[in-house]
Amino acid sequence: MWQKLWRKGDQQKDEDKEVVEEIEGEETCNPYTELYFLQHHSDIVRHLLVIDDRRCVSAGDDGVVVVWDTQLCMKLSFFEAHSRPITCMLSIDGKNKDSNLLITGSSDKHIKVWNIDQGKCVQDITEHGTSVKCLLPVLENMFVSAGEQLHLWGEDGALLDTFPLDKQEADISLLISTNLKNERFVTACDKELTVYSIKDLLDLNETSYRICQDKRLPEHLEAVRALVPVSDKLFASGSLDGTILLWSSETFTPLKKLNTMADYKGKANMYPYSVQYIACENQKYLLAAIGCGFALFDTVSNTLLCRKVKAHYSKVTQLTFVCDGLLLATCSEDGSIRLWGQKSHNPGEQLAVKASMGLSPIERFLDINFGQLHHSKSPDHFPEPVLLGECLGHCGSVMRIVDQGLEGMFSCGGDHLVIAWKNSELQKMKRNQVIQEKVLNPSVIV
Amino acid sequence: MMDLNMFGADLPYNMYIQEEESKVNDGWNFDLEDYLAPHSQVPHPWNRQTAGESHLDMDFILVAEFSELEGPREVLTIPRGGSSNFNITDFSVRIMSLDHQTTTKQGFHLIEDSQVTFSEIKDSVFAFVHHFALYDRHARGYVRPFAISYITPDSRKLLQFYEEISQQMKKVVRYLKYGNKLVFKNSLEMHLMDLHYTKAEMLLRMRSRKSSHQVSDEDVCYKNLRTLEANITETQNVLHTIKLSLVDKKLEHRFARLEEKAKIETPRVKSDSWSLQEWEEIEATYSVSSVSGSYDGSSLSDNTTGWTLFPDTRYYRPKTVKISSGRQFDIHLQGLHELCSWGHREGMQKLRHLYQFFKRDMAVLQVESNDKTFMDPGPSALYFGEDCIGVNLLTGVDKKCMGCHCLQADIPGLLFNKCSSIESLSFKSAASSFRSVNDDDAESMKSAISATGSPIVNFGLYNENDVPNTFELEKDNIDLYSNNEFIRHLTFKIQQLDIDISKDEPMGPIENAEDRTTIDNVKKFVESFGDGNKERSLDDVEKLEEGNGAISEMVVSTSTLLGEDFEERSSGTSDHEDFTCECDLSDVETEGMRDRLHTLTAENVGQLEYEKEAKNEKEAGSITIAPETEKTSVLAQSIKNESMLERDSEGMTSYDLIRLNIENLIPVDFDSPEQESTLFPSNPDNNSPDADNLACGFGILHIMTKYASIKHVIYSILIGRSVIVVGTPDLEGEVKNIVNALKIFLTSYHRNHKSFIPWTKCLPSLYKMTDLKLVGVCRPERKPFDRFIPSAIKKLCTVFDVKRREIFCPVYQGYYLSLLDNRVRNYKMEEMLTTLIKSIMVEISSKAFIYFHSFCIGPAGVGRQDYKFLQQQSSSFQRRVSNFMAKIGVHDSDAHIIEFLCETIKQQLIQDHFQTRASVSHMPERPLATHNDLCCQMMKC
Repeated sequence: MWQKLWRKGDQQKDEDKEVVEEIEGEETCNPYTELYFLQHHSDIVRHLLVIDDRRCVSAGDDGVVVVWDTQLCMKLSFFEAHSRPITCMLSIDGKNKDSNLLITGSSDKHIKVWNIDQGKCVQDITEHGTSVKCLLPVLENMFVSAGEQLHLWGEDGALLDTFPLDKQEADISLLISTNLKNERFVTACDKELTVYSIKDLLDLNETSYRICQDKRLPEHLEAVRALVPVSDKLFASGSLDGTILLWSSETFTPLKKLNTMADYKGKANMYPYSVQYIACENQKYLLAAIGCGFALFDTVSNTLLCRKVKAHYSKVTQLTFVCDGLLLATCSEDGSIRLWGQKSHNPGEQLAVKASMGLSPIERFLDINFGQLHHSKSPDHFPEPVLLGECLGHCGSVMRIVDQGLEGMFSCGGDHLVIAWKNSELQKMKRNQVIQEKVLNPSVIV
Repeated sequence: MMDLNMFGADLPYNMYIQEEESKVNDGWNFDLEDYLAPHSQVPHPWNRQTAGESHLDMDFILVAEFSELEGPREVLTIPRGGSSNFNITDFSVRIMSLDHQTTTKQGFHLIEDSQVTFSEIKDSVFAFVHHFALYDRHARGYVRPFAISYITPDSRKLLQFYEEISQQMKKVVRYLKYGNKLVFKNSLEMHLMDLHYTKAEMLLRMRSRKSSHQVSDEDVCYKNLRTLEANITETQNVLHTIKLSLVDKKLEHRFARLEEKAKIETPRVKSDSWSLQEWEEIEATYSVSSVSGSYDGSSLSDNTTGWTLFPDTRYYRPKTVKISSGRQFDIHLQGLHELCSWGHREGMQKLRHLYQFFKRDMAVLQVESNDKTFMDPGPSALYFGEDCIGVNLLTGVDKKCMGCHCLQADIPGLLFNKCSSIESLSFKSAASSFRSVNDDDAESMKSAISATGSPIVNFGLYNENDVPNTFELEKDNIDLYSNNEFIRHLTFKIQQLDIDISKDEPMGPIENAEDRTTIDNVKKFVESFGDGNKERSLDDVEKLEEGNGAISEMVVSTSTLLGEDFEERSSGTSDHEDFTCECDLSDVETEGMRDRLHTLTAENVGQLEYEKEAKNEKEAGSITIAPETEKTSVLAQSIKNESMLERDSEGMTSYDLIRLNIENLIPVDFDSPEQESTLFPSNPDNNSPDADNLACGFGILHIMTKYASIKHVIYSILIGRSVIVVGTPDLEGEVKNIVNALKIFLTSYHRNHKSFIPWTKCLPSLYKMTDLKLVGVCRPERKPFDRFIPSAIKKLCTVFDVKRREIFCPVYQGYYLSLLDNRVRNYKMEEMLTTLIKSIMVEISSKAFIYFHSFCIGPAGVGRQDYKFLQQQSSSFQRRVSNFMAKIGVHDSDAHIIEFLCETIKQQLIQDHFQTRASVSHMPERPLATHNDLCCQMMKC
């Protein structure tokens, strides 16, 4: 806490060069005009996962998983899942596909499998042995858990294989699969990336699976903070020093280095350019949360499309497109969620045009179609995104945001809250509908 | 004669004020000393009955019993002592002599209740009598006949409310009887155990005696044994019958809960729950040794065994009983509370509520029953403050006169016509396109009971509740509302008198000696007030004096509503004939209605004293309600004298019309416990006494005149934006006053959650702002304002910095609140301002009503799904709303208010829907609107 304050103060001193944008007065472009405080957690909420168009799940340091109805903004059920903070969550389809399973891993060394529909614990796996750091679905209905060791689990929770790691200082913190079949995956452990694959061995009449280490990749300068698959052939990793590396998924060689910083440590080892999060769009564009700002890269032309160096007062924790790409939402440790977009003089007209064309979020955000995009070479072509709205509601750092389309946006944070950001007009319409359908004609629904 | 009378009316009033004046310096103690209270019995001001010798002057409830020892006797009366000059004993004999036990069945059987009305036209005594029987093991035939009677001088009350009274009586008796049955069952069970024990003992003795061969004794023993057998069979039979009738598990659980609660509390508190005059009896009967055996003291203390309704029979230690075939009649017969245990407590409580409700004047009851439709369905009622229902969106939609009781459908139109002519409530013009709703605006005014249970009455001719509150406030020495405020109240009362007087002259503003005298009197005693207050008060008096020349002007300048009534009167009242509503009421009924109205004003004024008393009583923790007649207020007396004059004059013309008008706006208070519990959950653990004492909206006049930009703050409240009033510790009083005054605009005042905090040391979290709409916050001196309020709060809430007199909020640009703002300066009387506020709220609510029915629940309210983008859907909806709002004559910021009011109702409805659906265990969260589209500004005020 003290450190955070310190850091904040430090950053504000740096702002001589570039001042953080502020929004004053009315925000006509901000569609989130109604917010719902979803309270249940008693500690930092770190994870937010969309299950379907009606439900999302939140989990946090209090070891509790809460299932929320995103349309009505109410709690559906909650599981007091773990005795220690939940570190990772994974949603998979159940055996018969009609039920949703949720796997949670925690630092209490347990992995639990939940049936969300029935609201009960299906399995409690204790064989992991150490604190669980991340989970990844592999092959069909299997999953890998990582921490001090790598474990492969069958769909019924049976331990299929364990891969002991060398004596390392750090646990595996990130896991991604790099091809469609999910048989090969990359782990990030401090500065190092390692490739593993799952081999199936046919012994007589029984199939057994084995984790094999394929390759160790060249190290980053600092700890890897983000790891994301871009396409079938490409994945990206970002690290504390601000470097984003593009790797080939076939040869596992670094293809391109983006965003290299000379003095990456900054004042008092604050790492002002650290990469916190990378998201991928259209299998070729990378959205990266870098320091207090964000940047958009094109992995084909290897160019920086646009960037905002000072978007927040504190580090950006996550970013995502909302409203079908009309806006980019960034959340930060400073407790705010900010909405970025292109300034236009007539938003209504622009919207109509954009709606008429089947555009991708990137095109909408940059206000340009792909044809034009390919021709333009210089990054100066795109103006810096403008702050169009600010969503203030959290009183601690915002950890995650997820987009729910017309249902708005959900965020969770250090203030133990999950907040649903919705559009009041849409909510008014929905309430009218509910009143018409349910309250005034209760006989209709039996 | 008249002159004398007038003076006589003012004399005690004068005395009253002078006495008060002497106390000014002693900290405004307004409790009237005993010796100041009038000694003579003050007759009812507008009593319909001529003052008879021994007539009944008030309603009361009598519980009587046919005692097998004494014959008919009174058990208790509510209020204690009943009516002063009414022979209760005689009456008891009369009602108990109606033998209702008509069955000729042999043996023990359950006795049905019967209800009769009883009238003694000669004495004008009318009673509703409910006969019932309680069971007592020691009584003849196990039965003790009782009767509860509601006795009233007003026969119409019984006729009009027969159903209600009957229902309520049944409920009361249900409690009593069920409690009694449980007690009876317990007593029988114990007795049976005693009998079995005795039998066993006897057999043992016989066996031992057999050895000694005493034949003569054996006969006696056998005889005894036979008697014992007979007793056992009889008891078993009775027990069987009783057990069969114990089917009301709900009530049983309720009693069990009560007992559980009482066990936790100290015995002292427990005994407090017994009611009224039986207190002494309770004390006495506890000491009476138990007639039956005793419980093993190991688990239960002796004290608890006496009253527990659910004893554990395992701990019962039986004892031998004296065998006799006959019955003893010298035994102490149990009191009602012993017979019914918890049933007595519940029943009596209900009975007291019943009394409190029905004792009021017929007209009040009638208006209430008309207005009650507004309470139902509960979730669709739109409340402002604690006592104003703007409109109920789902009430009376199908009626001809929409949203109102049809009795006085034409009156509001009349009112509005009048007021537009006198430029007082001119907002009508803006709404003229929607006459149908407009016409009913004033009628949707309603008041209800507050959380504390005291009747809160605000919207009416005379705001009876405000005055005691002022007293309270003054006692607290809040310097802000200085003596001026009190004088204003007093002068207001005086004006009341004047208005009443002037009503005597149907011919309009005529100068006469009587009025002159009054004004002079008023002037005299207002002058006798302290110098500091003189100027302001004299202003009022001056106005009165002017008014004497043209009375209508005078009234208009001080009060809109009275003014309208008065105008109505002075205009010659030719439209009197057109007045009856098409939908209701025969002429006869109207006539009766008017008749009843005679008592109305006096009742309200007379209640003043009583209210205060009741409040004091409550504070003292006592349940007893003092009889109000004993100390009828001086004011009531004076008004009564006028009413004597009135009776001499023409009587039933325009005056009644005015009264009828007034009735439309008359205070309504719901005393009925059901409504209280369902709609206004009481909040006993309210730890802010200030908030309790002050009426909702008190001080609004002061606040509105003091702070120039307050309308923007009000706007914030009306669009559901939380308002945070920030002040340094030295401004605590001011902040509290602001919060208290602005409470009147809160739409969520009654809900379970508390929507306001008058004063808190730390800023509430943002997520609490979904419920909290008005908060007074203390800002430490050393902490600068900008650092005290986080940016998120500043963005989502309106912040009112009292110290720097700055407001950061969305700007209001609209009609209604500007109108209110402009009018504030014309008002000297707070009652009138609150009335204006409420009428404006009702006006706005009526728009919300149209918006809800024509837009929200129509096809336009549901969005088309062909838009893909959130923004597109949103803006198309916005366009539709603003188009519709323009059609109904609502523009700019007012549209936001109406939208919010509608949303409030929608949320209430949805919430209610989810609450009543048992399958859903969780509730949807309440939203917090961000109002991104509104531009906030910093304003000086």
